[in-house]
Amino acid sequence: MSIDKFITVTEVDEGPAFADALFQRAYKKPAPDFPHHIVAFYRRADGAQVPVSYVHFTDCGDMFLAGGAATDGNILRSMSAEEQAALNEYGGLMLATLRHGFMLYGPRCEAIFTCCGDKRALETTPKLGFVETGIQYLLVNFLRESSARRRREMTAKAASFMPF
Amino acid sequence: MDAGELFDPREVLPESLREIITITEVDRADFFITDLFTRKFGHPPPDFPRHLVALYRAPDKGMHLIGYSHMMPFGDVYLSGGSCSDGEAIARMHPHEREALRAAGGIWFWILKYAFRKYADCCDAFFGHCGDKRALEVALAAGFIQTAHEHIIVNWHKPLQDNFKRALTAKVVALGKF
Repeated sequence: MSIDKFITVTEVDEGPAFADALFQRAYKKPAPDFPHHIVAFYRRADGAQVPVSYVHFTDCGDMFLAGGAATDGNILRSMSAEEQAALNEYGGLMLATLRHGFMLYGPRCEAIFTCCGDKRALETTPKLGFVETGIQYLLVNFLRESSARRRREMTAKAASFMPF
Repeated sequence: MDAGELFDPREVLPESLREIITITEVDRADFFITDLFTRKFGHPPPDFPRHLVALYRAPDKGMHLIGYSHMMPFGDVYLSGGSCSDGEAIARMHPHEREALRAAGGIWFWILKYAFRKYADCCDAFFGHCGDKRALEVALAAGFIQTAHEHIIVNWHKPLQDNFKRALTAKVVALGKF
């Protein structure tokens, strides 16, 4: 079973309207109110769309910062066994939302950074091409050819936004 | 493609609707509206940008599609089409919510308002094709005006020279029904 049967991932215009509960549960604060918001919707058996996973991408010009990833475990557990198995096989919803962000914003920037210390999330980040930067918790996927100096510049810029 | 004006989406909807309805652009329409669209138009929804959906937030946190509109970039103008609302989903809203929506002008009115705001910097004008009398009332209330051409309506949301308006209108009329 493909997750496309019951999950769709899309950018939405407004984060809090879709992800506030998710974000509050994970980070004890409101979801970001500035672009860009990626939401995974689960199509429930009654036809309702339920926001089940979220990640935020910040446009910093030459780079995007991915952060604020959160998934609603209660909704995951409410899914059928077949749906849960399909999601496990896919690699999880964080992978799906991050991939969508890479597809949308990757062509617009030189690198995507993320800030990650969570052990489970660190199982997903390599699948997106994230590698360590040498700065604790800061990971990067350099999407273009660039010099070592340029990469140091971008890394320093990204680090200045931490935590994100 | 220009992402659209940076604005606070919550400011578009009136306060009476903000807690129960959210309008947003989505990257693809099929997951949200294939059933409704096919029921209304007899074919699947467009698979090209841009898609606006209106979602009703039920007390159980489930979100239900209540309205849709396709806004197609066509060079320097946007074409509004494929608009539909889900009467069954709206009927499932609480009576006071339904009344608030009706009193505020209905869902298509607000989807159009949202589009005019979000895409204001993306085009020189918005055109629509509207042959339905009731729909036309809503469209005119939202900011469209009639052109000299039957069923073709336009929202001139920015100052333009008359000759430029004529040129844009001619281009849209030449396109035929959309």
